[in-house]
Amino acid sequence: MTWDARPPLIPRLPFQTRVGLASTAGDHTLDRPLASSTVLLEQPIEPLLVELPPGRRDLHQCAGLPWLVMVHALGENRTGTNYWQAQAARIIAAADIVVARFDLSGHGESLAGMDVRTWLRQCVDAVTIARRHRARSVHMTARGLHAALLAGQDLDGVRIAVFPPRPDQLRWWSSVRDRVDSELLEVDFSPGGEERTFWEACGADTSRLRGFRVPVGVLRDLVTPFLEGSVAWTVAVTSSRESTGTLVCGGGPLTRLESERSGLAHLLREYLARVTARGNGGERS
Amino acid sequence: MSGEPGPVRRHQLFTELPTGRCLTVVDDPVEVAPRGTVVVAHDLTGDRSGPGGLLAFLAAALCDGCQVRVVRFDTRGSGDSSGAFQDVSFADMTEDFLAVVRAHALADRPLVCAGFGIGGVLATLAVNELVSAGDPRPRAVLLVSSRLAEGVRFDVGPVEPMRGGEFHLPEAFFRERESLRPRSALLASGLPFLLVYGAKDVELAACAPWFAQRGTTVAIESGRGFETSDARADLVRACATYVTKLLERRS
Repeated sequence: MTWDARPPLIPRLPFQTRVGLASTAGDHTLDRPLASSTVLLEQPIEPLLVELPPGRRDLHQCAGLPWLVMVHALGENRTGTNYWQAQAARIIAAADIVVARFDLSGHGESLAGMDVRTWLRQCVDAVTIARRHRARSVHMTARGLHAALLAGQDLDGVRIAVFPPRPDQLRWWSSVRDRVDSELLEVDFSPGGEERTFWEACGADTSRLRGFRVPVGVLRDLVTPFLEGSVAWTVAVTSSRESTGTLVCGGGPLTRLESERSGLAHLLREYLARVTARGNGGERS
Repeated sequence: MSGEPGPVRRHQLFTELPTGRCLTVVDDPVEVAPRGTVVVAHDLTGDRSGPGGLLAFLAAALCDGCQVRVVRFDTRGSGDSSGAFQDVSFADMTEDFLAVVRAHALADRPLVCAGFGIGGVLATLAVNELVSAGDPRPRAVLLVSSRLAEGVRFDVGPVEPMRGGEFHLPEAFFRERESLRPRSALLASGLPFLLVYGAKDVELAACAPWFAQRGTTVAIESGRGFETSDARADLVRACATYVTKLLERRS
């Protein structure tokens, strides 16, 4: 790990993004039960990619359906490592749930920098879009350290923390927390020990993290709620049952393997389908 | 070329195909008309953004530094495009590349076909088809960490796990790969090319002399994915210098 006060690789403003017309041409693998359609919606910060349930050709046909907003982990994009979010979106959409994803600023196709307030706004914008399209309810998932973003959302659905870190997995933070917020952490080698535990608990794959840069202040904003116990979600996906309000998914927090990704997607689908069938589910901190 | 991308207009859309569609990202310079087009294909199991955002970063930097349109896309079955990963084939991915060129490459402007890893195979096969069809736009091939292996043989089962089970692909994928001759296609196109690779990428370093004898190569002190900010800046510098010279030569 080295410290670097240079500007981030990703440029700040000015930048412009726009998206194409919301074409609804279908996924033509129609022999597959998961075939669905996707639309791109323009948003103030980054486009929203929305997966429509099979048989629904546009968002007008989705009025009254529940929505799920998926928030990716640190260092990945809206597609997810090994396409996990893209795959999960299709599987969950097959349960008549509209699924929306986006690149958090500073990730994927974003030309802007990383900023937690911007990320919170992006989540709010996605929920607003869902309500504008008459969502029955809006649920949200967030993976790893980004589960901290769930607490700030005004949702009528459930908040699902996907492999959120435990405070004991964040010990390495104490070795860097005194740095100024504007400094950039660059992971320039494959870390080990507590540092590896930290990044993986955050949801970042250390085998692919080399070259990743994140401002200290961003980590502070996200780590602090976990250390202070001010995070909140309805249910957490973990690798073993730790308490009530837990769903168990085998493998580790990185869900690298195809079988793990598929299992996680089906678990989320079943949970959301049941929650939708009985109401929206209760909140739990 | 500072290595720090400047103002870029980034546009996302779907490129429609007869059997599916590809999520596509188009970068255009904000203040001037683009002088040409660079189309970039991602690696197998990758997506338009590249590992750690490498391709998104390279695209913005090339767009700003060379004043060119840069187009990236997810091949069918990958990323946010339609289709299932286990159905990917080189024929389809090459068709995707050509469809993206038809839809987004500027008319009457130079075209550079580029690829990272296996994306280099797609770029090479596609450019050969374009040249064979008499398309006058292709001017060069840009290969990033792509060795265009030929004569490979795979010992695989009916369904083969990749990277310890992170993905699975059918035997047909590997048999198709065995049949491809991307280096021959590159030479047949008659176009100049640049190969940029990490000096610590042992496999690529071993075959770099073949490329050096026939084109331009640049080795950067890094691994395969240009994993440090310095390595990424060097990658951008090498690619931008090559593309800029190419455009100046033609004009």
